[in-house]
Amino acid sequence: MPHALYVCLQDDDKIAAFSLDGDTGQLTPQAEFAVAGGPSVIAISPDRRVLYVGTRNSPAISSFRIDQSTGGLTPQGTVAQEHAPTFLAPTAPASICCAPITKAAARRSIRSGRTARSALLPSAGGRQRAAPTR
Amino acid sequence: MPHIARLNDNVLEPPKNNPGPNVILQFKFDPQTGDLTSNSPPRVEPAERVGPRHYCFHPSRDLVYFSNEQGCSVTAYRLDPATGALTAAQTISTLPDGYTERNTCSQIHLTPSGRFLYVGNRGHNSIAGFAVDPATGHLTPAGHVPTEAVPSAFCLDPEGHFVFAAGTASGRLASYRINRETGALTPLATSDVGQRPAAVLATRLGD
Repeated sequence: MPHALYVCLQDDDKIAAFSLDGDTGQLTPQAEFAVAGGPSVIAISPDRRVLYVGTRNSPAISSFRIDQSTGGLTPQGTVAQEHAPTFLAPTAPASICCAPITKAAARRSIRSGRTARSALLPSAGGRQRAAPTR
Repeated sequence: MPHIARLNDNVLEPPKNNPGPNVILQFKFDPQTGDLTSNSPPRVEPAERVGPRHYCFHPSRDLVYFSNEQGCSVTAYRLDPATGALTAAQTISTLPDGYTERNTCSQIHLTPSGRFLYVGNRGHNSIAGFAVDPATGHLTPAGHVPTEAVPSAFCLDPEGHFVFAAGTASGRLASYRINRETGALTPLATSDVGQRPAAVLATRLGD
């Protein structure tokens, strides 16, 4: 079973998917998936079944179901963000932490100890819940 | 016992005259609710303005390695497993001796074995490698390999045999094989991938 490799192409508004030969390191293009808003941040769930993508030009986080035989991506949902995400950290099965990018937001975070947070529930039939920014 | 989340809160490409906060914020994380609360102490502030940017956890030891964006270095922090607090232990340059041109560090990744560590150099346009002492986590340089222009993002394959580095400015993706004894990188191939490749991730498919 080959591995999959994904590249966020921020100025093309898409993700390029490759198959990756784990023995040789060779990449073979497989498919491209449109993601509006400048995909630029990527993370995967601990069970490797859901891909999270943050977009910077139009601040949001989207989730995609990963087809385990082809590596193909199926959109699950999108949660708008107040600030462009700069880093995603999946932690528990159903939560993801998002650090904002803007200097103002960073300063605000440091002053108050606040961090933007969203909870995506990809296992709930594609439904999702966005926790308010705290 | 709650899990502990640690976020590196920093700006992407700060202007030269305003490099942004020089701090790591420490939180406790409740896995049931997703709530974050400030840890004690709530922040770790490097003595010099190095600009902590990205980090990775050692796979088996209580160590976290941060890339320092402006400092062009890596800092190894001891992680107190009881409290989640970080304490700086070692800082080492990601640049060759004598290099003085502008450079900023980008991402940082460990091999799954924890034996080798890699950091992107934007400006020097290289991937810096380090060998990790299995007993102590201490870093020693393992060389540099030239890469595509502005390597903001790179990843390893799931087994830790290869490195894939994207050139944000070149629109190309470069592949390298990791020498299993030394950690040195050998170029394999480069290919066009598209405009502004900003993130790269490899994963194992199937169960």
